[in-house]
Amino acid sequence: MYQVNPQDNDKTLANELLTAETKTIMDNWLSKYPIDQRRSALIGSLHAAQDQNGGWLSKEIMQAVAQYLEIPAIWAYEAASFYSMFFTKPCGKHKIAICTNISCMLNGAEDIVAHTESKLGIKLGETTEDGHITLVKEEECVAACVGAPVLLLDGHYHENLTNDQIDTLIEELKHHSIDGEKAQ
Amino acid sequence: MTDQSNIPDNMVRIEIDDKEMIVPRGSMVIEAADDNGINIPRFCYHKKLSIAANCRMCMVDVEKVPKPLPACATPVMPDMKVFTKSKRAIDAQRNVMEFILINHPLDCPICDQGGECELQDVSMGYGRGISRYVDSKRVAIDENIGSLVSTDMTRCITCTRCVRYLDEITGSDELGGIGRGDRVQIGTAVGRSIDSVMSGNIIDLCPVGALTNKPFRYKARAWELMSADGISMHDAIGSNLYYHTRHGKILRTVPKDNEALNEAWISDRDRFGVLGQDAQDRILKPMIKQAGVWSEVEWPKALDFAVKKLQAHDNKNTAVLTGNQSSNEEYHLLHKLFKSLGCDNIDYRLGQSDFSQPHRLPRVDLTLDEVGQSDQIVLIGSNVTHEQPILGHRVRQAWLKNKAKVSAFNPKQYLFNFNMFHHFVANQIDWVKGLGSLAHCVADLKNDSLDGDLGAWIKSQNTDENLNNLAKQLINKDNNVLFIIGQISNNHPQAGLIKALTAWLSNHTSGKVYEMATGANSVGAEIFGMGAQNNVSDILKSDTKSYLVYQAETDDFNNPYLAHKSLEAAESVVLMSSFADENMKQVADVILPIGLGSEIAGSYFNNFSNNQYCPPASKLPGDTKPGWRVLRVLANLLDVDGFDYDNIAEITQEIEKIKIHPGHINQDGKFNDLQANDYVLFTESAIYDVDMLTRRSEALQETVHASTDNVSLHSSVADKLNLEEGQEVTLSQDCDGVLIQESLFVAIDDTIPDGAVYVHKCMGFGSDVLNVRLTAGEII
Repeated sequence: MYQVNPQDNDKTLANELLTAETKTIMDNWLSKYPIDQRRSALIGSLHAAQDQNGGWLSKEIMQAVAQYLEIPAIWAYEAASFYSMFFTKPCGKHKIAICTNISCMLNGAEDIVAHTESKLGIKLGETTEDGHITLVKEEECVAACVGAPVLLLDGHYHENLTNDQIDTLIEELKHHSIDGEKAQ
Repeated sequence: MTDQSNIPDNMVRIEIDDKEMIVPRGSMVIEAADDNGINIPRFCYHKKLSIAANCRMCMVDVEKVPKPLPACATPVMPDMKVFTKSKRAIDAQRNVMEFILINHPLDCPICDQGGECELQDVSMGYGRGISRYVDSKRVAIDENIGSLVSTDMTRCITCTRCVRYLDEITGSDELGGIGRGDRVQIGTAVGRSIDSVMSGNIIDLCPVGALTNKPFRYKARAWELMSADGISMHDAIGSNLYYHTRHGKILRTVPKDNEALNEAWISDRDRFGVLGQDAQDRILKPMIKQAGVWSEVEWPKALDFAVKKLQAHDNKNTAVLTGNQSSNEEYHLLHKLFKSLGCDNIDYRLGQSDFSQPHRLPRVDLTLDEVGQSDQIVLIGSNVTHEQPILGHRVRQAWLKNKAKVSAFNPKQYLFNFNMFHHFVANQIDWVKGLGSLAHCVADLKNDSLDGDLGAWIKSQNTDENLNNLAKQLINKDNNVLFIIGQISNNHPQAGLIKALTAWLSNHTSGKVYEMATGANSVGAEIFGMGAQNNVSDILKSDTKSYLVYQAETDDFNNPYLAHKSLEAAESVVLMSSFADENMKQVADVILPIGLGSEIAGSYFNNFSNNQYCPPASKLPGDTKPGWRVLRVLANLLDVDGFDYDNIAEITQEIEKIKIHPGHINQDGKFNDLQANDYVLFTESAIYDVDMLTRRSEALQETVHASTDNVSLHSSVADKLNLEEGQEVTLSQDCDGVLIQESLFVAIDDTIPDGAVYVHKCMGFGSDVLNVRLTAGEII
């Protein structure tokens, strides 16, 4: 890696924006890699920052992550804009990511998408008005072709989807309050 | 067919297009092809950058491989047979071309790259006449990345050469690929500008018109331009470049490959500095001042006027002060003329203040290539990436590729693009003592008795555990040690001591020394005798009546204010220069306009004492004449013999046989410690404030590196004096009874050591007097 280790050691933004909990997670990731390959801790750190920031990454918090890891800010931005599990714009509490890659598509993912869209009244990449659910735009293969079509709901796999299953899932989500606690 | 067994182990025999070749093992097919004159189309591959293999344009057909392979990422194998023109190869290349062109706009008629575009060239060879793509094309939003590089990101084919350059070469990582798949766009993280001092190279690297030269935008078409060889006019590396001209006027500068010097790069200063040529205060006609009023006159009248001024005083009271970027031929004639007249007051070291070292060539013990092989590099008073950007690049490469450890002794915590092993930062007085401490540590480790004045001075310095650690590394015989003496040392009031210490350190560590030369041709100035008996400081202090100032202005002097006063007090000042600002017009009596290095033929010595010849690239504007011609006529008018040159070749011939004596650093002398009771001043020329041209290049002055009217100080100083960022303060300096005062704005900067203040040199403070006072508010 042709990395320059920024020598200004300016951690102002990192100290301002990142909570102690996030930093602990980032330290844990950092400890797994050699010191000159700190870039490797980036994905884990961005996840931690995203969780802290209500499910999305602002430019400021990405900069803070880069500052904390002592890597160029552009690297954080590159990674965040590349992976579909990172959100660089505000999004809903729950994220439904329906795989539309080849195996799922052959097994009817497009119908599932159409059904979900009409059920929620939003298109892929949009968030419901109440800020409850985001339909993730263009999820690529999630390595579960055996159960195609597949969706990821907040990181959990739901396989062999049917329209009925979608209805049940959305119904269940409705009973979750906005702060994520399951309503009784 | 050559038998593989006859080939050395590190080479392999391959065939490309039935042409047999022996190439280094481990090299890529594209390198072998390039070395043997076989053209393979490519966009992302660049010989100086890492291999990305993401454009897929260089597909070639390899025997026994069932599908085409990218030539840039396929290593050569013994007896490999490569076909670059087979049906499979050509089909693959055509298909890739079609993909690349899908999203590329058809705006060649308004694109600056048109006519010199790699995409245009390759699509002529491999593209379809008519696109099969009917959907809408991708559009990208442009960012403003500064005053040097203009962006049209819709044209980008995401080859990532610029991204890799800014990562690998400059280490500034300002650009990246944002997004995914077909929506990737090259951009900055948060709309910041590109601030590397070698950023202009991304213009040349970009194979399309996405990154183009901003000042050159819409000025000319590639096919209208003439190309002329040039040599860098702003630093002593002597980077090779091409000036591109139209109708005899330089419109832009591009690098010329020279592996020994600038490789494939040039610094932004060399690329955009020349644009200062058209500044408002360019003198286009000879001018004389009578009763305080300037008037433009014809050459004969101006020359007569100048001769009368020079003849009015005897030669003991005449002085010649010259800048350090003129050609050898001009220096030779200046020296010859004034030596014949019996004048000993000649100097080119305008920025220096300590002349205790005898004038000599800079000591350079190695070639630029060898810098990359160093294991331990010690920067002694140097902001190397700004002073000589190409040298800074080599230091970074040594750190990156050779795992060199870089240390520095500096009055400011510069942010380099390499890691520091030990960065000793202290004010202008204390960092020199720190260097002494290092010498003391080395002496202790080597049981050196420390004789003489220098030894005694070293002995009086403390030792320190951290420096001892560095000293241990330096005396390790397995390490290639390099000491780089920078501009901060050259202009330091204790320059003699710093250099003696460096020489001592190099003797005791068998390290090599690279002593930076100031400006583009101070080596030539020295060789041709511009450093005569009396130095610039003595000249300015003595009661000199008559001056000839040659391609210099007050900002070039170590103490601009005092220099201006001395010139003002003189009875006559003849100015031979391309520019004259208000300061110079105030002091001069006659201005003879002469050509810049890019407008005249001449040769230049670089830091390594290599002589390089540079033909004229552009026409002389107005009535400007080459300096050597004016000097020749002046000599004739002053009745000096031996000035019958008809052309510059005669002068070049005359100076060909000049002997060069390698620089040797004197270690004797009396060494005193400096004192400062108030604040310790550190004044430095900003990177784009080093000579007349760079000061006048608007594009450079709009970058973040331009000089400011700030006084930078440590936050603890600000706290102590209750100063806030941006607050107006008065800085005063007492130079031998003359008070220099300036209102400046506070910039809180913790890279400045506590107790020190940092200002840019153009603010007029002298670098020779270190004690300055700081008071809140404007000048009273």
